[in-house]
Order: sequence, then structure tokens, then C-alpha cells
Amino acid sequence: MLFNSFHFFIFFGFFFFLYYLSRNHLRIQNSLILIGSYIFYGSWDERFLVLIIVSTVTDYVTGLRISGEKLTRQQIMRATIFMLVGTLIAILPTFAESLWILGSVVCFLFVAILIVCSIDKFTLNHRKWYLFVSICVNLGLLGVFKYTNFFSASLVDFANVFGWHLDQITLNVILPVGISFYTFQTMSYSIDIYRGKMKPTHNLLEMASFVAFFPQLVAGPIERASHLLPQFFKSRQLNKSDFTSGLWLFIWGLYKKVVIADNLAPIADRVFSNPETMTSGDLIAGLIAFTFQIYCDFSGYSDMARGSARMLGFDIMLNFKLPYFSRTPSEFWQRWHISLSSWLRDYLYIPLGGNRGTTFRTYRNLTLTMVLGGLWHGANWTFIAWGAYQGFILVLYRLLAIDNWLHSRPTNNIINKLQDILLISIMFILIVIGWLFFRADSLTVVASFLSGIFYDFQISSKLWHDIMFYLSPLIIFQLIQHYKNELELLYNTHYILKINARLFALCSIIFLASSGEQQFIYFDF
Amino acid sequence: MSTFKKTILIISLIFYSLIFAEYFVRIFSPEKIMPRYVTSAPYGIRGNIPNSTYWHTTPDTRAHMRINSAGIRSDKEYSYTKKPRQCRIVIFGDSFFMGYEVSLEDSFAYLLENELNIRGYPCEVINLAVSGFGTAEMLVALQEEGKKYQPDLVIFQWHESDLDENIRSNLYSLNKDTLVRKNNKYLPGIKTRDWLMQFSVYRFIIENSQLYSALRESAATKIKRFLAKNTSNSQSRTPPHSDNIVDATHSTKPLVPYNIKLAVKLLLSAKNYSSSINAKFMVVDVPVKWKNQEMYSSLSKLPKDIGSDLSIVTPINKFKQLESNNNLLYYENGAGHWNVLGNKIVADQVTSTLINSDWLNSFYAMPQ
Repeated sequence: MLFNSFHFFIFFGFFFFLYYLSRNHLRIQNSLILIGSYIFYGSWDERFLVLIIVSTVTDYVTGLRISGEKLTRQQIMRATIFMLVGTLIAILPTFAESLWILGSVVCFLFVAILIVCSIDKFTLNHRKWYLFVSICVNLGLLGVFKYTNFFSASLVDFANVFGWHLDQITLNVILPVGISFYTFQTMSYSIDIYRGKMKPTHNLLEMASFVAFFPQLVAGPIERASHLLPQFFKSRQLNKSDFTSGLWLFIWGLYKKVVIADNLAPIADRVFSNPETMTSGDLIAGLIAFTFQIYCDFSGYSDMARGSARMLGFDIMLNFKLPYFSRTPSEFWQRWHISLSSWLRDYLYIPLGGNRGTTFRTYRNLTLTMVLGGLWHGANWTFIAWGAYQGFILVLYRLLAIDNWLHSRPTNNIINKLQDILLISIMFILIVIGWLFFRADSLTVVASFLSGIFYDFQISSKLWHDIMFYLSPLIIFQLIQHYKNELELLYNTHYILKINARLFALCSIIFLASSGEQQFIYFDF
Repeated sequence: MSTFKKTILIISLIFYSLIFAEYFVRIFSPEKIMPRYVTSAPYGIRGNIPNSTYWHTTPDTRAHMRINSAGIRSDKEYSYTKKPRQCRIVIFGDSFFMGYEVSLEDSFAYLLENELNIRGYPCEVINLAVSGFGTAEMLVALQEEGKKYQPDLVIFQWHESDLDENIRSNLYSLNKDTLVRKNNKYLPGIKTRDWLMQFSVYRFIIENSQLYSALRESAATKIKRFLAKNTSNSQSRTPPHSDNIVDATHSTKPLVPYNIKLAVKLLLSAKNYSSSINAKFMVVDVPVKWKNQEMYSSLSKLPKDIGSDLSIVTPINKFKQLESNNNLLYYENGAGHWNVLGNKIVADQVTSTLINSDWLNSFYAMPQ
């Protein structure tokens, strides 16, 4: 069920009606969120709900144990019943062929009980071991469903280099939608409890609703438990102002997705599917098309997620803040996919040592974090190359101390502005080059793309007309957003600008939206 | 704020939004303006509004539509009784035969008459085409109105969209392979349209507003899809993947989908009816051309042996040859009808088929 589908509008309308009716009963509202979220996620493939349930129960139990609390019999029973009943419901439509899933869950429960007993009996530092279990289960799910085939193929290729011939193990599995997002979200819950930043929840319902919260379940933002989970325990105010601003934020996201991203997608696809036959100008145009396609696709989704959550009385963190106005790579990562970059900073970069050690160690930590961040996006060498490239430019800018210079330069408005424009332009070109690694199917395509651009270099292309047709309004909108320092242009601006921007967005959605419902790029990550 | 002020504000906002949307469509998504001036004909189906004149405007072209007192796109009036030694050709079709997007002088019917007259065959072509017609409505129009013109030749247009139109209209159905009349009326949206057409504001909007045109097109497409799906679902008319289904009783014979069976029966029924009123019957194929896709003949949707039962003229080869030489035959930015060249090629093709046939020569050789 995509945000840009008719089914979602029906689903959300019906859901909101029930949600509003139960506005004075928090637990009923939370139950509705859980059921609604499972219906929403199950619309892709109901069997994958089992993975969410496993992740939820694991972190619920480990969270309590990490904080040093003993599990009551009632809590254990509740968790077990939730897991078994949830699994049964999830496999019901395909019961005969999915019976093995139930078997696997029962085995998992046995192993889990054994592990819990062993940890309690044989180890001294329970907290660390439970954190280890939580990370193993979540990364295990991610590893099996996302990376098995990639690592297996890479191992075979590596062995071939030395003349050893290995048989590749290939798992015939589909990547469960949003697995990278919710596993990272639940991991942050356990880690934050371990670090003493938050207390665990005793309520399985709220925990399950937090993990499966449908607005941000499949493509983020990757929320922090310390920010989102407490909102499930507070009475939520469903006021007109939140509803209206949420609705316009949703419409703004929908505009970016269906009008810009979906119309630029065929142009980028055409260029990337056959780069050898394209002129230098076509390749550049295709790359620019993808640059804005991925931005509008992903930030559009984030806006829709934040908008729909706000309509339900929730506050979800900002994920994009005009990233193409960044002057340096570090600024870019404070503006692009903020929830992931801050996650990587807090749970990977800082534990690796951050910038506390030698300069070399800082650069190593930066590069390693970015490479793993690249790998998070997908199981392909192109993503690793993209991560390495991001790490490289971060290190380069650090070497040149550009961020330090920006903070210490004397105040001179006109010169500063000109310097900013120059830095933004350079950074934009670097970002665009990065997207080439990200979008290409293989490193061979990257090579042929680059040779195509620089061989007989030219800018002109017939594709620019269509690209600029969709991009020009966005550029104008973003310039206004940047100038006014206001991201919610359809809600928080002067009423004349607001009315015209709203009408423009609505008319664009009605008359210029690409036909058909196209999936979001980040659903594959 | 007082209620009065609020009302004024809301009305102003609605008015401003409409103006904004109209200009938005004109600038960013120019839409063709092709009002349909149709009403109910006395025999239960749609007909052109008699004596109406209006414009069709698309990004490609602008055409003036003039309808005579009998609902025919023509500047002439026709009497039911024909002149002696005059061959009368009555044509039935949808917007292609009606000459949408081209002027009267560039329409197929006009060009056909002109070509035949130039070549010494004083034929008269009467165009009973109405936009939106399928084969079922053409058959009703032939039986109820066309026969009154005493035709010597009846020409039916064949377009692949007729397969759906015939199902949607529900005028005929098949009962054990026999064609039966199911409903006496098929007047989709005509009551509302007739009521709205009384208002000059509405007529102004349909002839000038691209916003209205865009919204109507979008709604019509969705409703048509819904109706076609519903009708075919409720009556199991088009079995899914029908090409792959084999008739269980005759295992070697592929099962023909219902909509194709119905269309064939309707065409054969029109042929038989034409014979019964001493008229020859001919079918003209309208090749299908979607933007950026290869052109194909609408006949490809019919059984291959249909040509042995019906006299069919298809311009597909000529069209493909011209297209390969970069000639445009359809308006690509408008509603996708034949352009001037397209109409001319079809008229030429039908003219040469008729001139080369024994039938037309014997018609004029025969003492009348």
C-alpha cells in the first residue's frame, strides 16, 4: 500500500475516522495503530509481519533485561502469545505453504529461552549479553534477508581470483520492505537503554505500535525510541492546526513524489539503461534527472510520513533540510536523510572513536562509517563505492578545513554570499557524481558513464526540456524555502504565497502526476 | 469575521482557484477542447444535435463543426429520396468518420464524395457517424435511420475500441451464438447533458475551458474503465487470458472471447441487413496508433477469416509506408484522430477499391 495510491487514501480515511472516535481512549488508539500498521505492512506480504513481530518481542525482552529488570511470568506469557498468535495470523492466508514459518518461530522461542537461561546462569554482565542478543537478532534478520546473496556471490568472486571454485549459496528470498529501517529503529531502543538514555517499556502493545508505526515503517525516518516511544503514552491532541499542517505537508510530499520524482524517473531510467548509446549531454541530463528524482522520491516520502503522523497527533523527526543547498559534505549529511546520518553518528562513528583519537583514526572512522552507511542502502558494490566516495569527500574537506574556515570567517554579507554560492555549486557537482555510483547497476556502468561524459563533452541535450519543465517550479520553491528559512511553504508563510503555492501543488498533482502508482526508491533499501 | 464576509471570502477563493487552475492547465498541460454536441435520437441512441455549430480546438489544430438539420456533419441537406442514377453511400462510424479535428472539407466523407465525383462517379456520401458510436449503435442507426436514405452502399467503420463500446452499450447480446436485441436505449449521460446545454454559461465553458475539458476527459476515462470492467465481470464476457483458453468441447479450436464474437455477429448482421435493403456492405479499418508505439490494424483483433465474409478495406499498408517516410497521419497532441493526410489516404483507398470493383461500374452501366 503506497502513500500515493488510492488504497492508502481509503485506508487512511477509514483509519482516521476510528482513531478520531477513540480520541479519549489512549490504549484503544494504540491498538488501532498496531492493527492499522500491520494491515498496512501486510498489504505487501503478510508473512513478513513475522519479522517485525520477532524484532519487536526480542527488543521488548532484551530492553527489560538490559535495564536489569526481571521478567515477570505475565510479561513472558504475553510476549510468547503475541509472537505465536501474530505469526499464526500472518501465515493464515498461505497456511499450508507457510507452516515452516510457524515452526521456525517455535524453534526461535526455544532457542531464545535457552539463551535467556544461559545468560542469567553463566554470565556476570547480563546487560552486555542482552544487548548483544538484540543486535545479533536484528542484524541477523538484516543479514539473512538482505546481504546473504551479495556476500555469497562476493566470496565466490574473491575465491575465483585465487583459482578456487566455490558453489554459491543463493537464498531465494524477496527483500522485506523497510527491513533496514525498522531493524535500525529497534536497535536504537536497546542501545539507548544500555547507555542509560531511556527506560524500557513494560507495555508490549506500545512497544509493538512504536516498532510498526505505519507512517514511518517502510522508509523512515528512522525514529529514536527516546523521541517516539513516549508519544504512545501521552494523550494525543488532535487539533485542527496539526491536522491542517500535517495535511499540507503530506500534499507537499505527494507533489514531490508523483509530479517530480515519477516524471523524472523514466528519463533517468532511459539514460542509465543504455549509457553507451547516449551523448555526453544526455548522460549529464540523465544524471541530473536522477539527482532530483531520488531527492523528491525520498524527501517526498518523508514529508508524507511526517504529515500523516502529525495528523494523528505524533511528531516525527525532520529527515531532509534542503540538502542541495549544502556547502560542505558534513553539512550535506546534516541535511540529507538526517535520521540515518545521525543514527550512524551516534551508534557507529562515536563508538568507533569518533574524532577523539588521532587525525588518521578520525579519517578512518569517517570512511568506515560512510562505507557501512553505503552498504546499508543495498547489497551491491556500487553502494559501497558510493559510501567510500562520501567518506573520501568528507575527509578531503576536513583536510582542507573548509568547515572550520566557514565558522571563523569574518562577517561580510556580500562576499560571504558569493563564497556560499561557489561552495554550494561545487558541493552540488560532488553530490551529483556521488549519485552516479548510487544509481548505476555496476561499476562497469559507472566507468562507461564517466567515459561517455568526458568523451566529446557537451551539455546540450533534448532531455533538458522535459527535466526543466518539472524542475523549474521546485527550484523556485526551494529558493523561497532557503531564503525564508521555512520548510513548510504550504502552511507557514504569507497567505498570498501560501494560497498560490497550495493551488500550484494541487493542480500539479491533478494534471501533471505521472500515470500509475510507482514504488518509492527507498522501499528497496 | 461575520458570516457574510466569510461567504464572500469563500466564493472569491473558489473563483480565484478556478481561474488559477484554468491558467495552470493552459500553461503546463494544454488540453484539447472538443465538446460533444450529442443528444438523444428518436430511436433510443445518441445523435448529433441538429443545426449546431461549434469549434474543436487542440494543440495541433482548430476545426469548425457544422451539423445540418438532420444531425449530419454537412453543409447540405439530404432528402430521403435519392436522385435517379445516383449512387448513395451511407457511412456509419465514430469520431474518425465524423471528421473530428479536421474541417468538413478535409473529412473522410467529404473527400470520398469528392474523389468519386472527380473520377466520374456522381455518388453522394451521407455521413451518419456520431462520436462515441460502437458497431451496435451503428447497426441501430442503419436499421432506424440509414435505410430511409435508400443506400446503395453501406460503409461501417471498424476500430478496436468498438469491442468495448459494444459491451458497454448493452444494446445487443449473444444467446447461444444468436444475436438478440437486449435494450432499446443507450443514452449515457444524455439527460444531464441536455439539461446543461440549456445554459449558455455551460456552452461557453465546454467550448472555451481547458480545465473543464481536462477534468471531463479524466472522469470519462475512469467511468468508461469502470463500466467496461463491471459489465464484463458481471456477465463473464471476456474471460481472462482468453487467447490461451481452448474450448473444451472442440479441443483444437481456440475459444473466441465474447466481445469479439459479439462484434463479428454485429458486423455480419449489418451486412445481412444491408443486403435485405439491396445495399452493398463494406467495412473500413481504422489502424490504431498510440504515441510512441507501433501502428497496427484494428482488424488484428478480429478472427483472421473475417475477410471471407465481409468486404474490408484497410489502409494499414499505405499508412505504415507513409509513416516510415516520417509522414504524420494522426494528430499526436490532440485526440489522436486522422489528420488531413490520414483522411485523404483512407478516402483514396476506399475510392480506388470502389472504382476497381465490378459493383460500382456495373451500378452505372446498369439501366436505372
